Amino acid sequence: MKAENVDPEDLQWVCRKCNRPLEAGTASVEYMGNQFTTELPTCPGCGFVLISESLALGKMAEVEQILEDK
Amino acid sequence: MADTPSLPLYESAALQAVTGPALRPGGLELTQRALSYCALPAGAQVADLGCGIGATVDHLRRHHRLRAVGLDRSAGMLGHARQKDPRLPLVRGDASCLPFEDGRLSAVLCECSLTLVDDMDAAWREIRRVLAPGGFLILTDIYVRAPHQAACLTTLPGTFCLKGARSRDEIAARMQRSGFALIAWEDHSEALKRLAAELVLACGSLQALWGAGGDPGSAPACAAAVRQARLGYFLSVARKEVIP
Repeated sequence: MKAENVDPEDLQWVCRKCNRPLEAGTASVEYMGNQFTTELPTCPGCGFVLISESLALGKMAEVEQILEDK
Repeated sequence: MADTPSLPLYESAALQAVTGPALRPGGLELTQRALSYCALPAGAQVADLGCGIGATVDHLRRHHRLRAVGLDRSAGMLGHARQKDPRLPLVRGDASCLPFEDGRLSAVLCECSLTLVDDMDAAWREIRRVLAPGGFLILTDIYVRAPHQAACLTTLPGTFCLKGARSRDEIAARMQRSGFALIAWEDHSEALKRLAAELVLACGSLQALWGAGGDPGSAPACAAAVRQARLGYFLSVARKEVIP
């Protein structure tokens, strides 16, 4: 599944290790035995993935709540 | 989400993007699992009520050699299905008025569709009518896991698609009243949770989806009701009882 979880502002970040700007890339997220494939800001060099505060506190928090049956 | 606001959830592009052609939690894996209880012979005539874009009908014909027919009330879904495969036998209609002769079918499948039927009493009567004695009813659907909170769903305004969800006891009692003997019940709530999580990642908050099919103003109430009712997903197989 592809998803639009990349804010253009997130792509202004530069990977500290590789010194390369992040790009939209496919990333696997695993939580409670469920694996999801989504699009996230990713370093094209080392594969580092950025999860922004808004994503963590928004969609990902809601996903956690659903999977934890809260 | 770029869907037309008036489209019900099951017709939304967002749902199709996440589930593929099956358009329901658990997809064809649950169909396969349900069929394992039935041992239907090749050539048996079956109907899929609420067939959507025909994924189950195609699967039943191709992999089980069943004479499967699909029925859906949505012209849009059937049009989409015919574009993919014009040979699939699909008809427009509603479960409350089935275009089959009495006792004609070996099995009826309702996969995440019965809760959407307006006239539930008529649908149960019709399903019983068209099934042969001993015929199978394969039912997978949303159910309420917190029965004392079921009222919070039924009293919601508008045409919220989950309003028809009932508790396990209510569904089992309805089957019995309608002349069916339950032979299998399985909880597959994990499949529903996974689908909900995928929808959130793909489209944003579920609250936006609850508002998409009707009045966006009622979305918060719908979201709260869904949480309180602790919705789950079940698979059941029942047989039409032969009344002497």
